[in-house]
Amino acid sequence: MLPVWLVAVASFIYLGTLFAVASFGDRRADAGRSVIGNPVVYTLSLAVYCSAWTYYGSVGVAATTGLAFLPIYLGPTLAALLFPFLLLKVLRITKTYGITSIADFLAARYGKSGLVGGLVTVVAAVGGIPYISLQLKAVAASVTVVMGDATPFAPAFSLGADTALTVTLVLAIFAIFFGARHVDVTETHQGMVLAIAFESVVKLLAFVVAGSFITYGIFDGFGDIAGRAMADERVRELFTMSGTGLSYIDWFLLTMLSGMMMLVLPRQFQVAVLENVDENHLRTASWLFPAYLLVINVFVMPVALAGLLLDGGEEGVNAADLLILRLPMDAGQEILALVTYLGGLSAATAMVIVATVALSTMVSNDLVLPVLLRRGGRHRGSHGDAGERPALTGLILNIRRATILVLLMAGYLFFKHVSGGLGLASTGLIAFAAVAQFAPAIIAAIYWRDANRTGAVLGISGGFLIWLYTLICPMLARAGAIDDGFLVEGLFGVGMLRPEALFALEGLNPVSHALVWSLSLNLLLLVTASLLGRQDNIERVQALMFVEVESSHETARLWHGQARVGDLCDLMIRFIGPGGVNRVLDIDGQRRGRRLGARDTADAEFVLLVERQLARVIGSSSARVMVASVVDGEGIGPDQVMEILDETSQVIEYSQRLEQKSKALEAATAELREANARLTELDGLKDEFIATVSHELRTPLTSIRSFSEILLDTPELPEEERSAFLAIVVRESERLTRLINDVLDLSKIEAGRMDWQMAEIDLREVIDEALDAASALFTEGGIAVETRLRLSRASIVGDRDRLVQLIVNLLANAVKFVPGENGRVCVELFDHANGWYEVRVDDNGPGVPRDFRRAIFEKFRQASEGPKERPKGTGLGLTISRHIVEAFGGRIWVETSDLGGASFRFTLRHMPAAGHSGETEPRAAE
Amino acid sequence: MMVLAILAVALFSYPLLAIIDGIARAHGHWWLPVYMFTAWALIILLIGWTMSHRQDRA
Amino acid sequence: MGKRVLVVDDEPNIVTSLEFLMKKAGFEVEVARDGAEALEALGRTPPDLMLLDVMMPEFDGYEVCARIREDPAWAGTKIVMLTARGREGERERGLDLGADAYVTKPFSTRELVQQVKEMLGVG
Repeated sequence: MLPVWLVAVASFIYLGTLFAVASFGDRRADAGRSVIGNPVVYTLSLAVYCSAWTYYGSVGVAATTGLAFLPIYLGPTLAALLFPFLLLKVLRITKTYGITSIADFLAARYGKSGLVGGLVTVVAAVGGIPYISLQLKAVAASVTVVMGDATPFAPAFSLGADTALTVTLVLAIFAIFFGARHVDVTETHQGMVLAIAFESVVKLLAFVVAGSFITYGIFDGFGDIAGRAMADERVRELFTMSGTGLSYIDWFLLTMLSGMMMLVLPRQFQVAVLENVDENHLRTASWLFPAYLLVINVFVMPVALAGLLLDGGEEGVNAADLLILRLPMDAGQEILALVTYLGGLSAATAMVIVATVALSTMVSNDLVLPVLLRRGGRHRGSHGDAGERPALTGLILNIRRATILVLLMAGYLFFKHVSGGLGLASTGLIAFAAVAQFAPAIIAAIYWRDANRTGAVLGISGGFLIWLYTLICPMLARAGAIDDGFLVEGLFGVGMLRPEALFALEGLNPVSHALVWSLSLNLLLLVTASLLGRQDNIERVQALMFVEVESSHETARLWHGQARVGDLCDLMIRFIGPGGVNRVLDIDGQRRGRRLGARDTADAEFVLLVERQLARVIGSSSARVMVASVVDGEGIGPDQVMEILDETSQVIEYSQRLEQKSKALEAATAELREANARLTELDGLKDEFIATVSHELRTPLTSIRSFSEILLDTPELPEEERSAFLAIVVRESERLTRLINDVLDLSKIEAGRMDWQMAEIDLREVIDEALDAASALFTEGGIAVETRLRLSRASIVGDRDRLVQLIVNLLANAVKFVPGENGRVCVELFDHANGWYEVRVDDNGPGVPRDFRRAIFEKFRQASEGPKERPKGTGLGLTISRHIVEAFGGRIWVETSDLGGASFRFTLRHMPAAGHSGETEPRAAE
Repeated sequence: MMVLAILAVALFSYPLLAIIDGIARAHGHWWLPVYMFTAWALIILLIGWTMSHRQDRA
Repeated sequence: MGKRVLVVDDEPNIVTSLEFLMKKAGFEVEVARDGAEALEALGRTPPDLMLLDVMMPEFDGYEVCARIREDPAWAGTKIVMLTARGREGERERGLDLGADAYVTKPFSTRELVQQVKEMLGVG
């Protein structure tokens, strides 16, 4: 027997420790070093599944119906196989759309429906009451046991009301402080999760320690207990299937039911889905969680058997429920008993904390706030508006606190007045059966796109009513709260309506019985209503988003309604422009062989095409709703459209920014490409130039080498031929020299490295000098030269030698093209207007074709008038001439001369000091 | 995974349990709980193995 | 023995030297100053071998070569291409078009004569 103060102090120290663990977790989370980012912590938090029911109740079940406690743990084990599929999908949906509770999940799926959210909340809260009540009962009873009252529940719950109420209030205050610390529910409660994980460790260790003590301390191991149990006919029966009292259907249903709980139990949804920080944790949890269940159940049978063997098993389930605590107490191990008590306390508090957090969130967000804010069907989007309004923070917190208090008080009243005589496990199963009503709606939510709101509401409420009628009403009747006549005779005296044998279904465990009817009705209503009814647009969008959360939303769906092509086009123009609309019509026209007109009725295919086009711009769900706004019979309210537009305008803005960026990129790319093309062109020109120079160099070299070798190899060559060949060698050598000089000059000029010797010179003198230098050419070709220098003096500033070279080039060029006989060349100098001199070198050759007049000043571009005529020269003379003229600011060009041939003309500026003013270069008459 | 799920359901299906029950009655009743826990542990091991296998593949 | 060689080049000095070399080696020589003239000469009496310059006005050596190889009547005529252009790939182009040899200017007269003799199976 432990003193009250010790129990109280130990309890409060333990609860204080929980606070410390939780705030440690929160601080670490705030510091960005989360401790729950760990699959083991995640798995341990899932073990909130093991509440006081497991801790105390399993033994109670084992002591009365043997292995019947096992389906409750086998179910989750089998469900764990589905973690990587089912739970993962729920997890992704929840994360993607910012879901805050199981009610929010279903409400969001079924068209952001406040009705669904409220209904789910009510069912979860009502179903949660028995569950919470069993925790209170267990803790209160355990307190009584450790304080020394050996018969806590006998004969009809004689526990002092004070103890139970105290426990309830302490737990309520604890839960209020613990669970409602934060308002923002979209945030994970990292501290809470860590505390729950901690509690899972505590309860597991405590149970294993106590179980080990009972098995190995009081008895002599598993074998000893089993052996002694075998000796007792009645106890032996507990090992068998018949000992469970469960039929095949019971076994199956209980396994399935507890498997479903992994998803639909609000507190499991809270820890498994909402508090999950990494979906990879599911992998570890899928085997580690069943392993946890296995370990915590290993000692259930031995403890139960030990209790029966020691006590004779006369006290019934209420006493058996506490065997794990009573056996150490009876053995005088009070410290062990205290530890065991704390383990039970941890199991109960964990459940209460998470359940109240989950339920209070649901009540405030999905039940009370929507009513308060009159927000109807749009009570909460995925933005968590409720948490974003500072003015509401206090209100929300108070709602949550009140919810917690109400839930716990209801739980207290429930076990005190209704379920006092029931075992912990039976009470828990009743709660299971209530929330099991969510299972069809949830499964349909994520796998069946046609499931609709009506179906979900009807299914859940139908199932819930059956649950009330078949499980709660009989309990209330037995507790004397209502007349119990209908239990035996059926409602209104109709035997078929007896709540525990509905439609004459008998022979099942009461929970199985309730499950069969409630789930059948639930499914029937869900499926029927979904098949018959229709979804509104929000609902359709949400359904698509949930079912297709992991893939693109491009799915063909036939539109029911009618729309005119013109209306759809008007809609499209706003998003993709007239050009885009035309394209769509073209695409469609090609397919059907005819282009639709504005007055035509759009068929489903066209509507779908439009929808897909829009989806590219505004996303598929919005596109669907936009199209629905135009298609008759797909009614949509203006506020819904506004809502969608609000959301999509951001998307549009974003895509516009993207478009701008990609345009800028395109422009940059085009510039780069252009630059590259210029470079390539330049490179090609350079390549061509080198090839040409190479050719021009090799050609004279070939002659020189050939004739030199011939002369060398042919000593007997006649003198005549010998000198002819030598003359060729000399000429070709000269040609080579000229070429090399020209190339060097040109490259110097082009590189800007020409060393111009600028001086005041007389253009007349330059021309005279050039004529002198070229006189040999004229004499040789028998060419008549004429000079018309109309000025006595033409002063300019320039490089004398270069200007001589320029004129010699022009003269040589003329000499090359004049006819062999009667060749004429005329050099002219006169004062051009506006301070420019002009020099002309005319000839009576073939002239330069008009198309060619610009090109001949480029490198190696020689005008050859016939295939047989190949002008002699380097092909660089005119190019160099142009560079020289341009270097002195002049201009050179070619026209037809008065003599009928070419007329090369260039201008040079008067020397400024000469008093002539001229700024603009004269334009040559074309 | 599918195979494992079928195996798990089969191991704990009532008909098989009834057969084991019958055998256990003849050879010592404790065999049924022993079977159950063994099968349970086996399933857990198989899930663990499958999960790590899946992880490798991913 | 009467092997005939056609020299095609637009550079008179080179034509002179090649003509001299081929005659000295004992071949009959005909001369063409450009592609058109070469085809004309070819049409009259197909030579046993031609020395064909690549860079010529109007249509160049490659074109002449391609035309010759198109006509099976001239299949017996061996073609030695001469070029003063120093670019990579020219050689391949010439050989692809059906030339039998490819000589870069300036060349060694002895080697050229030797090569022509070998190709004609003389000496």
